Amino acid sequence: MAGARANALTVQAEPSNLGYKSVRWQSDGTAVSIAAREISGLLRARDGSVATSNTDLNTLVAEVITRVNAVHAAGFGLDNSTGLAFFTGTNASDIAVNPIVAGDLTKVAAASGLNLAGDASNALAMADLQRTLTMNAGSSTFEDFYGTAVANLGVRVREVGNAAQTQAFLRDHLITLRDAVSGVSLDEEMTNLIKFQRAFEAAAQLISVVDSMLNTLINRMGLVGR
Amino acid sequence: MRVTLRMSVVRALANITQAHEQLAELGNRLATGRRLTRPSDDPAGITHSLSLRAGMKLGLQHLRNVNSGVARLSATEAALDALTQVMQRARELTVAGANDTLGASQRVTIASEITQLLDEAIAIGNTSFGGQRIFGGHQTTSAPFTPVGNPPTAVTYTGDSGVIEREVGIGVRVTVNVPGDTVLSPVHTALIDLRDHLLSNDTTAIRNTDLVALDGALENLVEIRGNLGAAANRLEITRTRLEDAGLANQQLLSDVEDADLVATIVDLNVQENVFQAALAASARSVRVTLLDFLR
Repeated sequence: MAGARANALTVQAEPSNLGYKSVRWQSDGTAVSIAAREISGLLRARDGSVATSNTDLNTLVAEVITRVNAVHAAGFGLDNSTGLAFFTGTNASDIAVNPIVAGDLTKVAAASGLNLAGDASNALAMADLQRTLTMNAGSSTFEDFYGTAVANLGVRVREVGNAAQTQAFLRDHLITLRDAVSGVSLDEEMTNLIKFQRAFEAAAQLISVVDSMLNTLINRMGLVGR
Repeated sequence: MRVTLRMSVVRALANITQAHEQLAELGNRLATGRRLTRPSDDPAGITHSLSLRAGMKLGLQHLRNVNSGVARLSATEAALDALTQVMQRARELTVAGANDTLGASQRVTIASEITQLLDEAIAIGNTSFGGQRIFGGHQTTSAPFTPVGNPPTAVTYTGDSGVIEREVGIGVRVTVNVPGDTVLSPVHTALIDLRDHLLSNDTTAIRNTDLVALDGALENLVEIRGNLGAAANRLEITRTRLEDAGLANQQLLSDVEDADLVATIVDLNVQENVFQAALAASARSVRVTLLDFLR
């Protein structure tokens, strides 16, 4: 705001950032730099720690979808259907069982060949994916990856909690130091109050003494000339 | 340092808040009985807890697989037991039919009983369990044995040699089926030959060929039943192992996730005292000023 003129703010969804909204100037559409205070903290949490967990989850789910679909498409269902995807979607936000498969369970590709009603080898191959090193360039399983992601989230939450506690201590300490200098101590003020009260009393006493002396001087002396 | 009223209040409030927070945390632990309710409670423990949970889930699934495998093996076992009885009866009849004192008409009578036994053997070959044909290999939806002609002159096998497996451990698979052609086809052939020889009154063939064929089929059957029994025993052992492992996992999970109730109650009492002390101390330090002594 400047005088009567105002530059309005607007929010806009960012597809590059999982569809989260960003704050922008309405006039030219550039991003508003929010560097401090509460909104900045919320934005940083959303685009930092929370986004990392979101990305982890999406990476995991995307890999599950790709791997399971690859195995499923190679198999054959009870009705000899093949090449079907088991999951639809691309990440954690839209993963679902393929409605074609869910609507007709004979299309679940459990067999490895045509006309093999009792064959479950493709289903076993899908089950084996849980023990395959699929994540992190072939170094960990789905379960390992998920465990690590959850543990990382836990560590971040704990770090933030500790940092918040430290900052609160620091703030309290600074308030204490400031108050030690500028704060009002009731004891001190009362002592001063009494000090000045006594000084006032002493001054008043002085006046009363002077008054009494003048009284003596004026009223009790010089009776001779009266 | 000068200590102002505001300082005392801020510090007292901070102390009380902290003591109260810890008290609430302990109360929460005691009420839920759990030490781990969020990942941040123990990031290292949560990894352990997750893998234990996954292990338990897998163990439960393996247990279900074992039970399903045992059921299937039992059904196969029962069918093969019935087949053994059929063959024993057929062998008795063969020995009787081979007797030279019998006439041709009596052999025809025996042949008709053999036909009945053959029908029974075909029916056994087409046994269903849970809607699936157990002797058809991977061809579980259609009857694997079809008699050709009436009375049958041959029995065709339309199943395959597919192996049905149950996963009962990580990378451990147990075969729970027997393709029917290995066990039933020799029996069918032997019975058809026997019937034909009885009808043609060929005692030499009955004595020399059919008895040997029946004994061979019976021996084969006994061997296959032995293998099935061994697989069933193995699954029983696996079941016991999986149940024990499930209990052990439960125990481990409890160690990781659950609060130690005794320790938590002691901690709670200590924390309650701390909280009360904080309240009392704050009440005193904030209340007393010089004002209280100036009257």
